[in-house]
Amino acid sequence: MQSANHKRKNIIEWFWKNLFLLMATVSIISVVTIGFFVISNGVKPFFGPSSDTTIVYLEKFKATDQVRLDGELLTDFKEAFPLTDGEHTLVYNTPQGEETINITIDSQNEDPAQTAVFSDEPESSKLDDSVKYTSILDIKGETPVGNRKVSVVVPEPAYSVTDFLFGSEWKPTALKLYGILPMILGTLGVTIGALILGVPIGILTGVYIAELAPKRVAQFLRPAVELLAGIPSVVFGFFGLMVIVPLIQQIFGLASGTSMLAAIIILGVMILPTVISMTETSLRAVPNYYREGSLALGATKIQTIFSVTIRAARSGILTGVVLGFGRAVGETMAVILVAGNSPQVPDSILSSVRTLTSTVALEMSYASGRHSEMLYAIGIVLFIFIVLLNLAIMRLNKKAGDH
Amino acid sequence: MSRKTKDLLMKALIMFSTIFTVGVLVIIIGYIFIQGMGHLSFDFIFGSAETGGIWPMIVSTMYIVGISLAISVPVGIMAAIYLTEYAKQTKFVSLIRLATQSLAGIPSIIFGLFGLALFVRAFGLNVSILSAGFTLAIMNLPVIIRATEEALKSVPQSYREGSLGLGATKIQTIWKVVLPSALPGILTAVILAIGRIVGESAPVLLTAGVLKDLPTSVFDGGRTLTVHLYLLAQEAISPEDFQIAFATATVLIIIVLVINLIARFVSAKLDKTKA
Repeated sequence: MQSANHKRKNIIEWFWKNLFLLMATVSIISVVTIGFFVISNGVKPFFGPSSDTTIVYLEKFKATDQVRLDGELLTDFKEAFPLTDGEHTLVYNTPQGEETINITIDSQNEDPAQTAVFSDEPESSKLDDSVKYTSILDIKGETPVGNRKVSVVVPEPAYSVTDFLFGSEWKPTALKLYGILPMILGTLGVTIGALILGVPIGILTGVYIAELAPKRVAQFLRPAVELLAGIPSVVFGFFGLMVIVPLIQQIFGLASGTSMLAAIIILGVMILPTVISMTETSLRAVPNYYREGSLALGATKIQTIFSVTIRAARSGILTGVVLGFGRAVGETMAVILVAGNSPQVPDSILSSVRTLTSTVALEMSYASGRHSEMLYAIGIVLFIFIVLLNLAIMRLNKKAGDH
Repeated sequence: MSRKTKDLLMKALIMFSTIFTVGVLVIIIGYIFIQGMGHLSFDFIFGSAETGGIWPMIVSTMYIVGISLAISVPVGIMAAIYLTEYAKQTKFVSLIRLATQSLAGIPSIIFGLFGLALFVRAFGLNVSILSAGFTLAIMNLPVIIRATEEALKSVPQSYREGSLGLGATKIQTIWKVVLPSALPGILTAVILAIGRIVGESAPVLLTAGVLKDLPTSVFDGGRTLTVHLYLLAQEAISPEDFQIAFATATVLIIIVLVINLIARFVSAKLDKTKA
């Protein structure tokens, strides 16, 4: 009896222990998959062409139309048909008569306009070459749903990492240019501006709460800061759009007040809670004899705070600044609402600016193919930003440990 | 400059900063309340989107909060129990801790991208409340794990020793002694997590979509309150739209206020039990 009870207890112990272990494993796996999915999608554009072969799509053709591609009769027009390099003929038979289109494909050609050429086409048709690596032939003729279209999409070659990081043009749909330099500069500009605005105010507020405020006032200020941290970012953005943006428009006489400055002000306020609470906690951790020593040597309270206490709490305060930097870099919706979002290198603090995160949020819903992969690549860039920030925090904490 | 004027100047700067911080909070909340309160009504909160109401958005938000908590709370708490009570403090365990900690700093939009790739596309769940719930569950997991670990660590070792000394098994000790003492800390973390999920917008936009209808199941897309406010702010033209936007912002702030109050209440209880 005793041993049976013991056995049962052992089984229960074993069960729970392994359930806990399983849950820990699940957590780790989910963390690893995040990295895996973002990175595996984001590196694709840099390692190979956007698709294996050239593809031809037939749009708005009707079931009664007879179409032959290189002599083969096509049945399902919803399908995409792969094409090899070289000459191809597309013959179609519609109520308007029979027409022949000759297509020359040279997917390796340096000039994207020469990769797919309609060498022979009906007179009534219209060629659209405005999109790189894609040629669209618009065939005139009566159909109720619009003109029949033949689109040839040539695979884009692997994109160079330098063009991606340092290219100054982001034109993902028409020109297939994926330079994110404007967004990197936009993110850095907005973030640094927010730090210049938010860090001094945040540190000084933290100093007040930790060192100067009467107990009752501090008890009121702490929840106020927590509340500021809890307000959803969209609400900040909405407030910015309704109040800050019109204000900037009026003061500077601009056509539109959505600007880098508006984003800086909103982000500056949004990082305040992070900076304040880190400053407060690290000031509190400074032992009291530091202050007493300084005061005993004849320094005033303010002198003690600035030359002794803040110095002793330096690494904690810096961690708060770095965390604030991270929050500003990662903020998305509030920035979209107030920044204007044009993907150009900003030339002044009043010009419209777009950040890395905004680009992802604005374009992900309609992006496909390489464009979508490039948005994942932006995700990797953000990932690297944050890893670097975390390394900085780790170094700061190590330094604090050495003291 | 004399010492006195210098001190005075610095003191003035400190006071200015504090007043600025509090002022910003008061102005934001006050401005939105004044503009939005007038439009708050029974019809607004419980009306459909066609009549300018926000009931579908409230339901979508609640679904997403429910799903993500149902996953992240048990998994996170159990993982934290393993890490603090069972795992030997090896390099591997500290690596896990480092990974979960750095995950907390990753921009939420990256979780959105991940949710889009995994749940929406790879798992074929499409843009739905379920996808968003899963995505936010994973986003909240590190936060819950970390907070639970902190709460478990703050339980004095003597409690465990006392329980084990009386002949309780390890799992009995965890269930009956350690967890009850750590509960207020864990609860505070869970309540604050609700606030974060309600306030989250970028990953929800990518994974749950913008559909205004009342979701009939978790496989439907749905628009949360934050996404609703975002779209209204972007598209509003008529004064009516702006009123709805202000009222929605008011509702969001009220939710955050209530959540913060409950969290404070719970953590105040924690202090009492400690004393």
